[in-house]
Amino acid sequence: MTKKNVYYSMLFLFFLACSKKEPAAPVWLNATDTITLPTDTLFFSSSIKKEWKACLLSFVQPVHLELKPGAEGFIIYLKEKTGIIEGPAQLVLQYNDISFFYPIQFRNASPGLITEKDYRSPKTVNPDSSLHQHRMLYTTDQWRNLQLLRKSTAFFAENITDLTTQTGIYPAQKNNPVTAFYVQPGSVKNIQLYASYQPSNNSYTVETGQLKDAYNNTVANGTNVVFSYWNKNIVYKMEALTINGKASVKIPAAEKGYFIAATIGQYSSPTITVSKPS
Amino acid sequence: MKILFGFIILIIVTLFVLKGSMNERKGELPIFMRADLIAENHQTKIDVQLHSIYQPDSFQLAMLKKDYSNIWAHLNHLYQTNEVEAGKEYYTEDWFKQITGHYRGKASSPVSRKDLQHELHIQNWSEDGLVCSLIDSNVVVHYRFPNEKQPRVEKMHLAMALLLQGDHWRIDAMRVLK
Repeated sequence: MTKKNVYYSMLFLFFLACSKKEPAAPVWLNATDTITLPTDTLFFSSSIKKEWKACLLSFVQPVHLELKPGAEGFIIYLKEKTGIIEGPAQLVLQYNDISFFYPIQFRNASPGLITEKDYRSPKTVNPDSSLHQHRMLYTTDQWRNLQLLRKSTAFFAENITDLTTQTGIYPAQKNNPVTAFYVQPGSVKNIQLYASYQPSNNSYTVETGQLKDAYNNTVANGTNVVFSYWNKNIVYKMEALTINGKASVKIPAAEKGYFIAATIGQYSSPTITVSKPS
Repeated sequence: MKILFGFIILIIVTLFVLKGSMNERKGELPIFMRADLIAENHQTKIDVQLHSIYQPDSFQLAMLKKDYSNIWAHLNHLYQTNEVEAGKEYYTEDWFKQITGHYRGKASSPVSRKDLQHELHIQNWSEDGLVCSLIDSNVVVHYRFPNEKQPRVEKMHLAMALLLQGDHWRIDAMRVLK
């Protein structure tokens, strides 16, 4: 009977020796509700100083934390200088398969580079249709955390802005070409025509004046101008594209004279006459 | 001589064929040919309220809801695994760069997360339909911790900026509000 008890005791002791020691939850010595990384160093007291793993379970992703043995237990810190999405997080300490959780609020030590986003739409405007633009604003830090807008308590803003009537490429933000928007010329509002006879090649030269839109912008290069000329019998047509706001054609002087008019879209010039000098 | 020449040609052709088939295997399928099982297996409830000057039409709204659900599927997956590439179709370049800054290989988080409900308040919607900023209020999230039978339920408010790029709404920035 005594012998049996000794065997049982030895067996019990053997199992006890083989079983893993479950660690007690490490005590966070400088515990706080909000931690700021990478500046904060976290001190933990534990009888087991090695074989721990630490990670910050941020709102978006788990972030590996460095761990080294300290005087009373171990010390945790973030090695990388890269920030994280701020907000609620769990500090997780793992020893083999056992995890301990410490709920915290996480903040970055520095916002890094602040970027003000200024989205404009449409990117290209034309005075014929609209001189208004929709503007959307938000600001992010380098780690993609939305920041309050400057001089505001909101994260987002939008408005409709009036644009200048003058054509050009305008950056929504200084020194940021990607934010540029474009004001293009509208359609012509007034067509002046000039014509003269050229004896050297027996032709009439017909030229428009400077073609401009309602806001005095020169019309876009490549605007199609249709020149119609006629006498008593037949109407002829020639087309030319504008360059620097002007278009011209040469009409063979087969007849003694013509009536001439130019048309761009729905706008027409007054009719003029041209004839060979007698 | 003819046999030797033929043999060399045969070796060259074989090499080209093998190289070609190897390249084919390494290549990544285009997105429309890939099945996104993470997104497909995700379900959540999304209600939308509009507060913006310009407003999305029903087609745009349906697309936003679908993509927002997919974004959350991948955010939950990222939370649990740190697998940054899985959801790259739903991240802007800046967001992707940010999360890869903390990538040290795939990790297995002891906590899993499930989003059950969203209430989107669309604050701004760009006139061209390419930018959307929203407040997701009363987000109901379940966290499952090891050795806990019941999930921990949390309610939160989020601000988010989304950009429509390459056929998807993508997360560009966010803020967990108090």
